[in-house]
Amino acid sequence: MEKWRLIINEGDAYWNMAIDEAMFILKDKGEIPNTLRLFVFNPSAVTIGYFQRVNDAVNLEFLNERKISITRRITGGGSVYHDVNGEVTYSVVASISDVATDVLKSYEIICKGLVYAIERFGLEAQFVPINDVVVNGKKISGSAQSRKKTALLQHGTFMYNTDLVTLASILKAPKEKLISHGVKSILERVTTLSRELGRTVSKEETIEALIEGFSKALNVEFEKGELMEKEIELARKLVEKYRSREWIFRR
Amino acid sequence: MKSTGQGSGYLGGEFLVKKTSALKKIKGGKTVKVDVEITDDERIHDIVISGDFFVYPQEALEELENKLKGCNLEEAKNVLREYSEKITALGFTLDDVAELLEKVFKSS
Repeated sequence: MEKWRLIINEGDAYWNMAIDEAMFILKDKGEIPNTLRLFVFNPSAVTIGYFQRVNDAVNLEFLNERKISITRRITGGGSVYHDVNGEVTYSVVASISDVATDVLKSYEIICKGLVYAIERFGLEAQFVPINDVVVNGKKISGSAQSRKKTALLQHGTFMYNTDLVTLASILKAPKEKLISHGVKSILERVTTLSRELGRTVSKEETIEALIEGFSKALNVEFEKGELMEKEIELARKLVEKYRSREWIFRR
Repeated sequence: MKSTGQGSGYLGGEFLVKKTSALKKIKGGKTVKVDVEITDDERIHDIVISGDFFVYPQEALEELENKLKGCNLEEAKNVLREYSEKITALGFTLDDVAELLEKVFKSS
């Protein structure tokens, strides 16, 4: 079985996004192995999609009040609340040819890792194209992918015990969006593992299930590793962008 | 789909521009919004296409926005048609953008 590197760590929003981009750039140059990174945003933070307008996507006043940091991702998709006590984020950085050339297909293959992880808890989950995973009709995970010539970066959320009241206060959804989902509020269309299971799921068991889920979905074996010096060095150069008002408010 | 006029004003003291925006919720869950500034001679002065969708290659969206600047509605539709073949849009189509532009031009 093919071997991929596994990294488990944590950091603030800016550092996490800088690490993802650094790995993405270096993977495209063929300088690092295919990697699954599982990480936590510490402190809790919000990320918005590359094509979103900050003001349309999140409630900035609430973020300021709670001193919750925000940054823009290099990937498309929607806004995400990364709860330090209830959410694990994954990043897959790999050669496109090792996943799938077709974009939609590659979303599915990687998102299946989340589906299998959820199944390990005895729940049924479905991948809903383009980029969602749902349990009992409610979204538990969202993913986003960027591509370069030979590499892809797909990262996404996995909510095991996110504070959904805080999430619903932060994320703005246009009325139209809610109507088509057939529910009245964000609270009614997102969920967490803990909520669905009726018990408090820990970060540790979540990470363990994710490793097994991705191993099955990607048909690879993970070897625990660390970031290389060149990844950290490049991330140090990129991190300032993620902190800058210019980047965050560019749309 | 809704469109909102956000008033008009002088820009650079040369011509009147009207700021409008329109939003469409796409079947499947994504949202696409256009914020447009239209000059008094019915041309796009500025435009931002935003939302929780995906575009590949990603740089193409900003390139498209730049191409749309200066266009009237018909020219803009031609540019959008041309770009439909150049980009992969997931979660929306450039026809949705054309529809939104038509809406904002009609309301302006």
